[in-house]
Amino acid sequence: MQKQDYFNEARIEHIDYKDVETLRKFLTPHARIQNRKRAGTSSIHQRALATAVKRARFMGLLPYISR
Amino acid sequence: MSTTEDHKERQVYELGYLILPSIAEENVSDVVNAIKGIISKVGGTEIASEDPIKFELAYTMSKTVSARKYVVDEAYLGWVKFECEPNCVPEVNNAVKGLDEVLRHLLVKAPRETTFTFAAALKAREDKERERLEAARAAEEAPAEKVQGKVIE
Repeated sequence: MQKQDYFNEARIEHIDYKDVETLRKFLTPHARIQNRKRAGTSSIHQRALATAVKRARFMGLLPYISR
Repeated sequence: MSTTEDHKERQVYELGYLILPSIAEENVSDVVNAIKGIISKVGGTEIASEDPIKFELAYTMSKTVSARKYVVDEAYLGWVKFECEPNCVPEVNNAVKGLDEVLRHLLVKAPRETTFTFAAALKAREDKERERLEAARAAEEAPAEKVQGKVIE
């Protein structure tokens, strides 16, 4: 079965860059952004997620690389 | 178009900022007031904000202030949400960039409703941790009772 979109299920309309706990769910152990197939997000949410992760990285909330 | 020069659509923005950790805790509010002053000066109205809290950065950052280079691993992080005309944004951006105490800042469009605060996130994490600990304790006690039951039999 296809994975469900987390942001639809959790009713998150705006993906906030400050919400690190949520963003971390979509990172690989190397702190890269998971692909859509693994994350199960819709394309709209995947793009918003990518923006949020990049903003969080700039502000030092998430690492650019890990390990 | 219906929007004329004197009747521009106001837009909600969010300014996130990192303040250098070398600033003493009691002086951080001065920097926050300076940032809020910049916003009100260009005619922006504050909607919501959160006071800076110290946290550990995910990686080392540096900022050079007049021949003095600060290399930091932690910073105060805060944000202000405000409403203003779109043509005021570069002004706010440049003014905040000019503040020596601000390590980095990020000015982005945001929805009017505040759905996330660090205080709420911290509380949620603590609640979860407490629940987990209680569950672990309960699981530890349960088998012990079983053993006791056997002994009685």
